[in-house]
Amino acid sequence: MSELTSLSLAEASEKLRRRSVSAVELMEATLTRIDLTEPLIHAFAWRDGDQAMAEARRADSALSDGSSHGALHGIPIGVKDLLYTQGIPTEAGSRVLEGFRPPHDATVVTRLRDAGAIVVGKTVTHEFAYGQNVPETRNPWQLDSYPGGSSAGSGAAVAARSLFAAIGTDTGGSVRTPSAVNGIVGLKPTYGRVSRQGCIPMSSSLDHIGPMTRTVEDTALFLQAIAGFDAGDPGSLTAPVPDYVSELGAGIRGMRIGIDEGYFLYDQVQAPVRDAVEAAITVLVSLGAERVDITIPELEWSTTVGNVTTEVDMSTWHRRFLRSKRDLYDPGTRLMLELGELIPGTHYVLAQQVRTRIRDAVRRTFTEHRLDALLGPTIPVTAPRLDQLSVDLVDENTEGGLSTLVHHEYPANITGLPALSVPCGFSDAGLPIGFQVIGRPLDEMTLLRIGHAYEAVTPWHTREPDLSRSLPTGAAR
Amino acid sequence: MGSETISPDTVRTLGRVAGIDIPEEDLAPLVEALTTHLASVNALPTMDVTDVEPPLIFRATWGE
Repeated sequence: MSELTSLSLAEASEKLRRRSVSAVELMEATLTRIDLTEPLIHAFAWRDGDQAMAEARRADSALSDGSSHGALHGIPIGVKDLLYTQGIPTEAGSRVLEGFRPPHDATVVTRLRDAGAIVVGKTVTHEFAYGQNVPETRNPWQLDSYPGGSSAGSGAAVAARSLFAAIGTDTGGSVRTPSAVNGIVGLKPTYGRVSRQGCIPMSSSLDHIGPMTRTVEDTALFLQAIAGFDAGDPGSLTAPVPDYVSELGAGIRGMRIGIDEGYFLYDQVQAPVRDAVEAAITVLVSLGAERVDITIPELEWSTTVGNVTTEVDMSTWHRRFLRSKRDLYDPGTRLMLELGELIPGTHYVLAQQVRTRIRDAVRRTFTEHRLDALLGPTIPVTAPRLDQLSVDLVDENTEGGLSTLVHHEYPANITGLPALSVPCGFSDAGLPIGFQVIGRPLDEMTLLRIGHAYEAVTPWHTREPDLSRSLPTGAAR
Repeated sequence: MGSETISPDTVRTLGRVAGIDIPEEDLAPLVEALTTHLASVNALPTMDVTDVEPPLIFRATWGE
């Protein structure tokens, strides 16, 4: 593997700034790496190396002229194929949108381009991010294991060192789950912090867009580029965007971290995951944080609220397509869309009322216990083997079941709170484990500080998947 | 609507009300899915939520 592709985004940016590496060299290394890894992990739905190289040459010209766009200048990135990219295929993993080329970029894509990032390709998603089909993407840590969903391609490509960072979307954990199972960092920002304009929706009140990177610092740099008000998104917040990078190293002494064992460490949590997260808590306490045991019984309703909301919202958006292009959907997706049409309106409104109760309970807990964050496993399990992954609609609580995978994720989506997934260990089988911290509204900074402090004293984020055993004999590694 | 009442005919009828033709092969999994859905919703709190404003936002102003 090229040393260049093993750099973090921040390290690569620094080398570009110092002119010790050119954007063209960085792109060449990236494209070589993609050529090597793509036959194994299938992370891209579309890519154009020639266009990326042309942009890299322009990035070098700009650097020669002394006109850098900032930390992302010349950095190769990927964009989940759920976001509009002008003139570039945007098919959301579905035959329903086959051949669709949007007339404009999503706001986040525009902002990333404005910050100098170079979009190498579109990354694979489950069909419309709905998770019922299993896409061709594979987990680089073990090719027969689940790569996460629905931002599977983004997670696998960043972990495989095929990209420095990628955009994911998160309606029920789709940034955080692939981050956890691929051993990378993923952030679901506060609802409204990052514009959804130009993102094919799942649920207007649950959808979030966020960075997927290899380090917390990289996530901070990426967030800096995409956060902020956008009039094109009705849910966008006008709150000013802080400097996410300058206070990263401020430490966590005195922070109060809430642990709800009953919810986040319930009996479906696998032992290796529990052990890794408990060890991470110990590390954070050793760095000066305080563990505060709390309980929020209302969280138990999160999965139902999240499911009902997503199912109805999805079916509403797809209403026209389901009637005109039904046979183009994957059967599992079609089934879910039909289900959403059958759910009574009263159930949807009840779910929204309960959602408000959950938000109030979480807010009350943060206030009464003076918490800075909640912490638990990102998901209760390590990546299931693909042949054991259950996407059965009625599969409630098996280890590979979808309900288990979203159990820890929905609370942050239905409350809109920011949530950061950070690598915190590996199972004996070599599969990554992540912990998740959930913060107060718009307090991404605290989560980034926690993650950064943890990374500073642990090695997990530096490990790289070894794909060499699966590469053809004689291939450059 | 109790879970015991869910049958393929129920699903077919609900689909008709929604305005969609549900393929035969989807009836059985939808019976299961709808039964699971009902069980989940019925397990939601029995607390009084009549005073809780659901976060469905309608703005009467014209934004001009």
